[in-house]
Amino acid sequence: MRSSPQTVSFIGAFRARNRVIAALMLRELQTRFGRENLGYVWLFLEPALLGLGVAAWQWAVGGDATMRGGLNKFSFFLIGYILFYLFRTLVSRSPHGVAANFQLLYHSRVTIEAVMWARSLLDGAAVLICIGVFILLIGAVYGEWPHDPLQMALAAALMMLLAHGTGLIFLAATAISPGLTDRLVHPFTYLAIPFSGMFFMVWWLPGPLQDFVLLFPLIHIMEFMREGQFGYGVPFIYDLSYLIQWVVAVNFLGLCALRAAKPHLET
Amino acid sequence: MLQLEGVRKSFTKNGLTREVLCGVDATFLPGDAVGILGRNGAGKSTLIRILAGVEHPTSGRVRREMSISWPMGYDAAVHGTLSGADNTRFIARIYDRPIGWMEGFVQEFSEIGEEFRQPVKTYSAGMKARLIFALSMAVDFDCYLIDEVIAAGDARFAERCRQSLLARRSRSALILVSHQMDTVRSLCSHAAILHEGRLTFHEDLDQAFAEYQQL
Repeated sequence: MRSSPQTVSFIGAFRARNRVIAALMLRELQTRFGRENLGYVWLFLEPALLGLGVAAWQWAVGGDATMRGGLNKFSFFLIGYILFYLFRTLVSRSPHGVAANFQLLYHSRVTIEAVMWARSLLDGAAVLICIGVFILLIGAVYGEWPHDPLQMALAAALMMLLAHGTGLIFLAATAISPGLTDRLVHPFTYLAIPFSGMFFMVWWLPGPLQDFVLLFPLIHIMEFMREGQFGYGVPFIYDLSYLIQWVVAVNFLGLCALRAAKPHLET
Repeated sequence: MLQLEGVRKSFTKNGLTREVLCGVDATFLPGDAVGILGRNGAGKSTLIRILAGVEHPTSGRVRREMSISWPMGYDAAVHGTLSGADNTRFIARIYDRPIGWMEGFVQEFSEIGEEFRQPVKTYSAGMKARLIFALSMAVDFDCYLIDEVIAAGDARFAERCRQSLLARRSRSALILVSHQMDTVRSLCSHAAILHEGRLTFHEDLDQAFAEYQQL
């Protein structure tokens, strides 16, 4: 059965695209981690170790002092860091999207958009599993169960989408200068930390500062995640429609920029 | 159908812009077997990479209404750290072919034997060429892009490649780029010459060869 791209139905094209993305995810797993030793386990071990590190450091520095609002300090920093890790890893690897996968582009069915989707979905799934495992551990050790796990999963999905769009913009920028983009992306992900809400909550800040940090989309995701994590004991300040506007805007801009950049990307 | 309309491609390196293709128009239909002749550096590889969709033209349009193979003659279609079998399964998935059938077909056609389960980077150049060719036969493309594949592999396999390609000339298109006239003569029904960024078609092979030799 052979069909040309122009004659297949919309649903057929959609299925073909999904099949390509699924195959790419499987291949990314095989090439990134190999099949020996811990292999696939590294996919969730990496965010888990980094998250544990940050949480342990905050716990050690703060001693027994309780957090404002009486939140569990360990789970606050652990889940907060893992969520930010998803943004950092997707965005910082995005400038290498073409160079690391140019071989895949030799298959006319594989587009660079599909390659980027496969990476985002794979890392998103890994972070989701990682958060799930720690929710169970925190529940077992502290007896604190999340208020709304589904809301936490939704927050991770929004983070994945925001990082995906941002990554597309950085990938498109490599058409102008690959070296410069690569140098800019790391400071960008570091400088995003203070605006991510990883180390604080919005209601801790004085009023004018609250308005300022709420301009950045990352903090809305973090607050949304923490509401699902801790429930209604403390105030959570976020605006979902503002966040979704950001997600749609960066993805739209990213796709347009990538389209314009395609003739100039080095393969 | 595979159609190019006013395709231009330029590369910028160290501030210098070099135009490799300056307005290429072409239409390839199923059953066409076209040899594209060009001297070294004429832009043959760029052209075939644009046909394959690896690169995008700086301006102009490419319309693909056939399934198009990866350019044969490069190692890029397979991944070195994965085994031949892993590569086969990946390609079966993206082109929607039965996975088990494709593994069997490729292992037999490529004559790789037990090393099918070993990483591709351990293969010899000939084995790799056989694997890539067998994969393309298993997918069954509407259009085959070939960049001097016949050179790789041993003589017996090269002959088998030629026979397999000739056997499907009625239903698939074949686009071969080469700087050798012999290769073009053995597979193609007509020829085109790529010179100074433009493509000129010739219905008659001998006429094309005569002109090519004068360049």
